[in-house]
Amino acid sequence: MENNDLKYLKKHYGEKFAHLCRELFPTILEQEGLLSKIISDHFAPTRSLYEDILPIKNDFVEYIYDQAKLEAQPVTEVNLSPEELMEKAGYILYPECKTEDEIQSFRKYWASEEELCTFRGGRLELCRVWFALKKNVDEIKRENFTNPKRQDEYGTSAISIQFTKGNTNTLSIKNRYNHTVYAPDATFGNNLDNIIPGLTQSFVKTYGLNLVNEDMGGLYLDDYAMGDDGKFYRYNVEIEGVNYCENNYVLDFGRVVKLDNARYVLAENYVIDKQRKKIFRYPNDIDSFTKSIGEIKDITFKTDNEGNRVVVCTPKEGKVVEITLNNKNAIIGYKNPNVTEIKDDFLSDNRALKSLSLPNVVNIGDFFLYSNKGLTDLSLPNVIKIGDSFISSNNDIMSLNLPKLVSAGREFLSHNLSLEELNLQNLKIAGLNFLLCNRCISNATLPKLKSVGMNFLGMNLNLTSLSLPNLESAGEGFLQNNQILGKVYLPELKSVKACFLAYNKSMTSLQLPKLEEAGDFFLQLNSILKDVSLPKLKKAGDFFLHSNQNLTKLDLPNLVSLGMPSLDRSKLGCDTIYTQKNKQEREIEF
Amino acid sequence: MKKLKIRAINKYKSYVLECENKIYYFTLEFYDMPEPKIGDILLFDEEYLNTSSPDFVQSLYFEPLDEKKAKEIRKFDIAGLQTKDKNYLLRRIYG
Repeated sequence: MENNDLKYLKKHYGEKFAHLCRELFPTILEQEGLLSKIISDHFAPTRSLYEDILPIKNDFVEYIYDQAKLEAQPVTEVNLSPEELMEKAGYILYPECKTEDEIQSFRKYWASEEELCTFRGGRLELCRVWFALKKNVDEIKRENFTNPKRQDEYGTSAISIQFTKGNTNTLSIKNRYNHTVYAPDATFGNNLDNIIPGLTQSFVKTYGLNLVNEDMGGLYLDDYAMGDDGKFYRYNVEIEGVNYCENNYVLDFGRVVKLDNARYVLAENYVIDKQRKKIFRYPNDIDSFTKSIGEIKDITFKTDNEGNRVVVCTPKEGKVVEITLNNKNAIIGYKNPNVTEIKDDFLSDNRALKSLSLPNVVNIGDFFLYSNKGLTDLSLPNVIKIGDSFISSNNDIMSLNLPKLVSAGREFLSHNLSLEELNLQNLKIAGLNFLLCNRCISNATLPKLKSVGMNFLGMNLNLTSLSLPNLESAGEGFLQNNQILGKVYLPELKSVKACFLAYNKSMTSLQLPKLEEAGDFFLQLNSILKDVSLPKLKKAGDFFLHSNQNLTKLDLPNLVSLGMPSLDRSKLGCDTIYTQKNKQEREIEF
Repeated sequence: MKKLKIRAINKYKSYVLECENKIYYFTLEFYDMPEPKIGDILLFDEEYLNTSSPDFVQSLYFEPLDEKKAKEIRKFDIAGLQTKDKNYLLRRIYG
């Protein structure tokens, strides 16, 4: 007959896990109820536990056997108060400090150069504070201890016992030597039972403390977090200190919150309330994602062809909205035919979304799908304006359909590595770091582009020709790492910032008929550039045409202002430099 | 030195720190300087993260350190804070 412990483990953690436990813990299984108690005390039910502990099987075995030893120790009920126990240990435990004055009253027991930073004030905002003094504290003099050790008679003659405030409390015992000794804030190993057995339990009972060691007890499990009940919970996603776990558990800064399975579905950090027909971001927030869905009339569920759960939201107005979840309740698909405007931070923490349908959205705010890594193609057929950091963590989008896009903010797809063709027929403005990391775009069609920010296509290595017939201004670093661009057509370009086309090794001639102003390092290190025509250039910055070794013709009839160093004639091949408005040949004053 | 990104801060100055995909919880106090914000980076000795050490402490206190005085203190007690506007050299203090 199967052992009851194994039956329990099979039911809550899966058959494979139960079999593994039979193999690993035969002696523990001899004590009925022990193994199931240990596992259920330390691990919230999950069918993934078997796979997750396999890589650390030896640590897991050691951990379980340690827990079995602890279970075997007799528990002594402590009936004495902390004050009584401390008195037995030779201390006077003073009442909890409730005011700054009460804390300061203990300052005199510390040598002036060894004072606790507690005495600087403000500790009561973070901690509950007690002081304890040895009964003979006045006889224990600092000058008699010339070789300080943390646990010696002086170091432990005046201590402060402090617990952090909040849902869980951690302990620190401060030392009378303070920083003079090593680890003074861990006096007695931060274990009250090292002062006198039972003291921890007495403090916890008397003062209502929730002492949890946030150390995972020596067991490190990826994708698990420890709750304030001491259990490991497998989480699907962690966002800003909150772990969203399997089975509708949330660890809110460690505090275990269980959402009623009958009423709620947890989808990443969103809660779907089946009863009230609402979706909100945990704990109770409205954001751009929940707003995009609108007021909901009904919520139902279905399964798609791949076995994924789909949340079907029927809004009060408009067509059905669908949210697809994978088996970890991550949002992997979103279909919303109604929304036209999306505000900032739309699913900005989501990583897994791989399918997006927003056919009518026109305006998108900042940080749209900022963390996303799942999308490989993107089509937003009606979007006109996009804010900053648009899907900027994604590496893999290979196909982009934004036919009406006019304005893109900073960091637009800035980490994209996969796009090879860029076709944005209506784009006029591109912000800083536009497709910065992409190296492989070989074909760019941007016929209406007027203005680009810093680092436009800054890492691109693949463009051999570029036509931007309407571009008027370019920020710093325009295509600065591209070395193979042989032809550029920029007939309307009026101003460029620093490092314009720096390091190019493929252009032999460049005409910028309307350029009036050039920043520093303009065309620096262009190794084969021979012929440059800048008929309207008036002002250029430092290191203009620096290290251009092969120039034979340089046309600057309107140049009046040049930075430093000025053109180094010894580094130029050209004999002729046109510099005056009347186009007479004249040497520049160097 | 380990770099830890501040992911969250609660009202009791309990910080959630992320380092190499692991999450750590510390109570932190910063004296005589502005409070760090979410997104700032803390740097300190990796031994502070050794939760299995008997000397492990969950509450850490820091104050600004004059670079000229850095040689006078234990390397273990030197820390740093990188914010958007400024970098701070810090000294761990105790008590």
